[in-house]
Amino acid sequence: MNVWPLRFTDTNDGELLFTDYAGGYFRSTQEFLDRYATGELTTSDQNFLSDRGHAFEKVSDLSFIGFASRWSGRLNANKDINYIILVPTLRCNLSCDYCQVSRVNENAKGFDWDDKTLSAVLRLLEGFGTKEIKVEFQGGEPLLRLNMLREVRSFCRSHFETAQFVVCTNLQTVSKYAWDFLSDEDTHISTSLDGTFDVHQQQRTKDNTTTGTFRTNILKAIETKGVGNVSALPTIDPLSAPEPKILIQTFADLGLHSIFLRPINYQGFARKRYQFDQVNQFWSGYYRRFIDELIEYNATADEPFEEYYLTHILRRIIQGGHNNHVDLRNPNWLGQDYLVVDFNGVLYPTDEARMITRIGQLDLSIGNVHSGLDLSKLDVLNSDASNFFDPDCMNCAYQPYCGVDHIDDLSRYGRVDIPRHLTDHCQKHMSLFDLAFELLYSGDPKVHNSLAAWLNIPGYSPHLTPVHL
Amino acid sequence: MTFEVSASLIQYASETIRRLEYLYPEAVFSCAEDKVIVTGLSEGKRTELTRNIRYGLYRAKINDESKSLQDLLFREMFKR
Repeated sequence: MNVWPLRFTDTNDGELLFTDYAGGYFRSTQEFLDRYATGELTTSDQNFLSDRGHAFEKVSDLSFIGFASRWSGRLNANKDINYIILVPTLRCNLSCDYCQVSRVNENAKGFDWDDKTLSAVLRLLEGFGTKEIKVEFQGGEPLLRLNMLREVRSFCRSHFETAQFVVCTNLQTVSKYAWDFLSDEDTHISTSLDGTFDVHQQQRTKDNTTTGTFRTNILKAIETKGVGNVSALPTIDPLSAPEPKILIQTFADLGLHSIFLRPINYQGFARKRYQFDQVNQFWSGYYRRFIDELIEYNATADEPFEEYYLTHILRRIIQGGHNNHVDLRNPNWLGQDYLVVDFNGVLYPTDEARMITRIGQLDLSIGNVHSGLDLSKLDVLNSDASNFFDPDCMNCAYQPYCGVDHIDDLSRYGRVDIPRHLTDHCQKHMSLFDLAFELLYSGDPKVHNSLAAWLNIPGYSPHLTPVHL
Repeated sequence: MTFEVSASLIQYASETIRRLEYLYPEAVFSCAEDKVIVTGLSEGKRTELTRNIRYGLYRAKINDESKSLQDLLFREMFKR
């Protein structure tokens, strides 16, 4: 019998979590580790490993094929482009303290697409070989260039079999024409709500009148579009975060059931104002308190509530795949299925890359809409796109579920080759995977209730938590 | 501090030390016969270090012995 290599990590109760290349996992003891590592597996050990798909007899037997299928199913295959972020303007009618995306004042000149750039964007879209496209309009405030949004949407509807649109708007000034634009079924709204309206006012809107306008507009958006077509992202200051219970209730009162809890982003102009080294530990504690509160809330709620990223992590563990989040995939090919076009027509592999370039830290542009992609630069960026051979990741039990984010590494450290365990990406995800497995192996029925909702399964099952004693 | 290593694992001591050196940059590691010797760390770290040396040896052995399986998986999946 051939046992697929097992990686292991300590759990918080003295046992060990074992995982294989394909993401199979189980908990066992230090004694099992000794037997496994020294080649002294018992018959019981061998039967367990065989029954659970951690071993095979010969190449091409069903166990081998099943394992290979599960392993390959977790890979982020190189796909045609199907997602594009367009920034028709950098101008914005708000001036938030930590503006995540670089912005300029509403009346500034020279920060919008011109007609030539718009034409080049449409030619770029025309050249995509895909039948489906998702277009995200960002800014600045994209509704300031409604005419550009109309042109792009009209073109995509006629050129692609399926086209979806997301307008990332602060919902501050929404004209009748903008509401008409937003009302179409294929057009979704993504806005910001910083936890509670009080915090939102403090961080973004600054006065009661502006906050009132935003509150009216988000309620109108949800009422007219339906809750499934509106998302609200909070940006949380870990040093003065709102109480989790209040935050959850604020979103629930609006009818929203999902929240992507994000701390203020290290990239962009935010880095000039905040002491990020000091906030990670606050954030980690806050995040755990938030999840605990969420589990309590779900125990009695009619409609379960999720934290988007923890749900994403759990689904990557249990189901594999789920490669739609560009910060967590393996391999993480840049400039392949996803592109960003800035206000000046410059192309970027991610929105974070755009911010890093914008603040002058490092030029991570990969071409422009007029001359196309800079393939040699892309080759460099993609030369180490996976976590398979990283000397830390190859020993990590969470490797099958994790990924690489070189843009984040470049942003924080100016290089991609520092020991993985020292990176923010690794530390953050180790903490999240620890939490995810802690929840999976929890005996608390309230946790089981939330897990079933987050994993979209009828109910929690002990099959989710194999143990070998 | 001195840590004894069993004969079946001593061949993985060098690789284990390479990894421990950047996990504990303040320490100096060396290997002599059937021992890993560590200086520059307080005695209070002994339990943690014992565990990490054991885990390091196991991981190095598992990686070494599973290279052929990893090669096999990649070869079978990507052959055309």
